[in-house]
Amino acid sequence: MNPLYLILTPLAAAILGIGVGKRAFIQQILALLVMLGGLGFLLQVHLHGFENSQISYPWINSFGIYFALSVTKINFWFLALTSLVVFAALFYHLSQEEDKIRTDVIALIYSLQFFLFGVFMAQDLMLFYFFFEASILPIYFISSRYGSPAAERATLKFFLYTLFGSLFMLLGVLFLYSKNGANDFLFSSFGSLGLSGENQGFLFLAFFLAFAIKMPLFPFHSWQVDAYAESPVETTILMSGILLKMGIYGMIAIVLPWFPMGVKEYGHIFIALSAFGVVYGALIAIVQTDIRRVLAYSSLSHVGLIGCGILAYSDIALEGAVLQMFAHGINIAGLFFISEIIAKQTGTRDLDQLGGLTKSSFGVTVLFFLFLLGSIAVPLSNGFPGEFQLLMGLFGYNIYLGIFCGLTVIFSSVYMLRMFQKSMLGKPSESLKFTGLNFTQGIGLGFLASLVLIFGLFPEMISSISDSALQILLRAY
Amino acid sequence: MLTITLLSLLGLILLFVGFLNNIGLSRTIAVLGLVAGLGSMLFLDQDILTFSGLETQLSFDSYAIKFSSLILFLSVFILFLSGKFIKKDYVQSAEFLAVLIFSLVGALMLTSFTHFITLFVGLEILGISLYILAGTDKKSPGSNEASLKYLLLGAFATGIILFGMALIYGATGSLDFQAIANLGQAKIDSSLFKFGLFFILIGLLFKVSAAPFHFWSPDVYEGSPNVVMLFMSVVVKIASFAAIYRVFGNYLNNYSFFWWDIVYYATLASLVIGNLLALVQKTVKRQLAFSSISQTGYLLFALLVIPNDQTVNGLVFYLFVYGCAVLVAFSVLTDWFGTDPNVKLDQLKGASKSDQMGSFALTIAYLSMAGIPLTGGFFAKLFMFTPAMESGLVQLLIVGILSSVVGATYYLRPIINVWFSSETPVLEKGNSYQWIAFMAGTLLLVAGVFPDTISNLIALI
Repeated sequence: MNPLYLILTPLAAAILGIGVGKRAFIQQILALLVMLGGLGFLLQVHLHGFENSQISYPWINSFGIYFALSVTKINFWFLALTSLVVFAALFYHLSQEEDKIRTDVIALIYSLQFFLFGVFMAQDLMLFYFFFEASILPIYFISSRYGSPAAERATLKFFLYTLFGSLFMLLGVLFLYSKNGANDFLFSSFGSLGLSGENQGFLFLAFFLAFAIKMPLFPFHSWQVDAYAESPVETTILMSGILLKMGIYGMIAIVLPWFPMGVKEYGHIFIALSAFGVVYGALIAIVQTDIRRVLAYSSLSHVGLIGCGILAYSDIALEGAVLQMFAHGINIAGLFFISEIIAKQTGTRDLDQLGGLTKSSFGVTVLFFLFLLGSIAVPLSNGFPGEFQLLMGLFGYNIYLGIFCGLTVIFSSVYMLRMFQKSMLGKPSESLKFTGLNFTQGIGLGFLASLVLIFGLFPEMISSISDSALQILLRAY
Repeated sequence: MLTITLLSLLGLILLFVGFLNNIGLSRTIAVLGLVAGLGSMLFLDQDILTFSGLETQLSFDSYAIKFSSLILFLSVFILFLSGKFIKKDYVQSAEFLAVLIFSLVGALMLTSFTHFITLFVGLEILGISLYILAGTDKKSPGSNEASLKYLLLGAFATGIILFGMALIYGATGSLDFQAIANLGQAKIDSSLFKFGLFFILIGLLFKVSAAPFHFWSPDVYEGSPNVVMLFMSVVVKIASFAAIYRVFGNYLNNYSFFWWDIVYYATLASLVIGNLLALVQKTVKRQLAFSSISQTGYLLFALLVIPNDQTVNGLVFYLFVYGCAVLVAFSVLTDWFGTDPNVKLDQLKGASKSDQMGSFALTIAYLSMAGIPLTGGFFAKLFMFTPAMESGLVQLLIVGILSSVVGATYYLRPIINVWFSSETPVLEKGNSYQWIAFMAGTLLLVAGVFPDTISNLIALI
C-alpha cells in the first residue's frame, strides 16, 4: 500500500471540506470516512506486510533531501491515533449548531492531520523536521483566532516555546548531516554513523529539548496548562491527544536508537525530573477547580510517566510507553470532549459550581466514567496494561523511582474521582441546565469509549505489532 | 554591458518623455524597458554594444547574471508599486522614474565589476540616485531628513572605501581584482594592504547595513517614501550583497584570515541588534528596517563559509525569498494605506475583516521572514545554515537560532494584529496591487514546498 494514499487523504478532505461548507451532516460523513479510510489503510498494511508500504522521491536534490515515507511497526499506532483524535476533534466541532461551524477550522484540522501523518511516516530527517515545525501552524491559527482573549497569549507562548525547542533540533539535524558522508538526511544512514560519546550527548540534548517541550516533560511544561485551558476545545483535544505524541514518537524513533550514549549520560537526570513532574502534576491536579486544568495537569503527569519509561531503556517500559501513549490519546481526547460539552451547556467549568449532572444525562455519566476509568488505569480499561508495564519497567530500573512514580496510581484516582464526584454527583444545582449529548456527540464519544474497552480487553492488538520492532530498536543499543 | 547600455538609454528617454506630462505613458515605457532589460540579461550575449576599455572592467559572468536578473525581476514590480506615489501632484514623476532606472545601472555594475574603478562607479551611481530618491517626498520633513542623513553618512562610507582603494593601490600597484587576488606573500603582509582591505570591508558593511554600521538604515528607511524603502531593502540590498560577496567571497577569499573575524562579529552583532531592536518598534516600516538588519546577519553567513557555487545559489535564493516577502508586505500596505509613510502596527488590527486575500498574503510574507516551514524563508535559512554547520560554526548557529526565535516574536505581531483582533480598521480598500501580492506570495509558497524549482532555475542561469 502506497503511503501517499494515507497522507493525501486529509489534503483532499480539506479541499472537499471547504467546498461542502457549513452542511454539518455531509461534513460528519466526510470526517467519518477519512477516519475509517485511515484505519482501513493501516489494516491493509498490517495484512499485506509493512515492506510494501514505503516510497521515496527526491525532493531537494542539492541537499539530498528525499520525500521518503513509510509505515513501520513503530509508527503504526501513532498513525492510527492520529486518525482517531482528528476524528474526535472534528466531531466536536461539527456537533455544534451549524452557524458555529467554520470551514477554515475544518480545513486547518485536516491540514494538521496531513502534517502529523508526515511527521510519523517520514523516513528523512529534514522531511520530519519540516512536518514537525509546520504542524504548529494550524494549531496556532485555530487557537488564536477562536480561543478566548487569553488564548492569544497562551498560544503565542506555545508557538515560541516549541519553535525554540525545534530550532535546537534543527541544529542537531544539521550536525548529523555534516557528519554523514552520504550527504543525505535519510533515517537509514543515521543509525550507523558511529558518533563519539560527546557528540551523542550534544545531539541527545538538542533533540531531547525539542521533544521534551512538545510532550511536555517537567520542567519544560510551562506553556502547557494555559494553552490547554484557554484554547478552543478542538485544539486542546488535538494538542493533548496527538500533538504531544510527536514528541513521544521522536524519542522512540530518533533519540533512543541514534544516541544511546547520550541517553546513558543524561537520561537519568531527565528521568528524575520527569518523575518529579509525574507527582507534581498529579498533586496540582488534585487542587484545581477548573475541569480543563485538572485534565491538563493530569496529562502532564501521565506523559511524564511515559517519558520516564522511554528513557529507562527497558523492553517492558518501552512497550508500556507505546500502549500508554495510545490509551492516553483516546482518554484525554474523550475527557476534554466531555468537559467541553458540560462547560458549554452549563456555562461553567468550575467544579465548585457544577454538580448532580448524572440526574440529567445517563449517557454522559457512563461515557465520562469510562474515560475516567481508562485514565486512572483500572484493570480491563485501556490505561491499565500500559501503566502497569511502565511501572514494572521503572521498578526494574530503580526501585525507589518505581515506588515514587507508583504514587501516581493513587493520585490519579484521587483527582479523577474528585472531578467526577464534584461535577456529576451530589445535589443538582437549580441554576444549571444540562440536556446531555446530541446525536453527533453520542456517536463520536461512543466510538472512542468503545475503544477504551476494546484495547483494555485486548492490549495485545497493540503489542503484537509494535513489540518486535521496539525490541529490535533496543537491541541496537 | 548590453543591459547597462539599454537601461542608460531608457533613463534618458524617460527624461524626455517627461515633457509630455503623461505619467501612465512614462511608467509603461519604464516597465517595458525593464522587461526588455531583463530579457536581454537572460537571453542575449552581454558583449554586444560594449565600449572599448570597459570590457575588462565589467564581466557579466553567471554570478553577475544571477544577481542582475534578480534585481531586474523585482524592480519591475517595484515600478508598478510606485504608481500611487508618483501620481501625487508635487512628485516629479519623470525624474523619479529616470533616477530609479539610473540607480539600476549602478546596481548592475555592482554585480559585475572586476576592477576597483567599476566597483566605485557602481557604488556612486547607486548611492547618489538613492540620496535623491530618499528625498522625493519633498513636502515631508522625514523624507528630507532621510535624504540628508543618507547623503552625509553614505558619502562618508564611500570616502572610506575610496581611501581603502588608494591604500591598496599603494601597496600593490594594481586596481584589478584578479591581480590583487594573486599577490605575493610580501605584499600581503604590508600594513598598507591590510588597512586598505579593512577600510573597504567597513565601507561595504555599511552599504549592506550590517551592525554596528547600521545606524543610518532605520532612519533612512523610515523617512523615505514607502516605495523607495522597498527599493532600498530589496534592490539595494541585493546589489550590495552581490558586491560584498564578489569582493570578499570571490576575489579576496585568499585573504580571509584577515577579514574573517570582522565579518564574524558583524554577523553576530547584526543578528542580535537587528532582532532585539525590532522587538520594540511601533511602526511597520521601522520594524521592517530592523528586521532587514537581522536578515543581513543571516546573509553574511555566506561570507563565513567555504565559497562555492552552492553558497552563491543559496545567497541568491535567500535574497529572492526575502525580496518577495518584502514586496508582498509593501504591496498589501499600499493597498491598505496608500502612500502613508508612518503606518503603525496597531493600524493593522482587524484588517482581515475587510481584505482576506491581502491578509493571507501578508501572513505568508511575515511567516517567510520568520523562516517558518511551508514558506520560502524556511529553506532560505536552511540553505544558509547548512554550509555554516559544515564549516563548524556552531556558536554562530546557536546565536542564529536564538535570534530566529526572537524574530518569530515580532514577525508574528502583524499577523496577530491582522487576524486576531476584534477592532475594525480604517483601510483605503484599494486592491490595485493585489495581483503583485498574490504572485509574490505564490512564489513564496512554491519556494517553501518545492524549493528545487527555484534553486534549479538559479543554478541554470
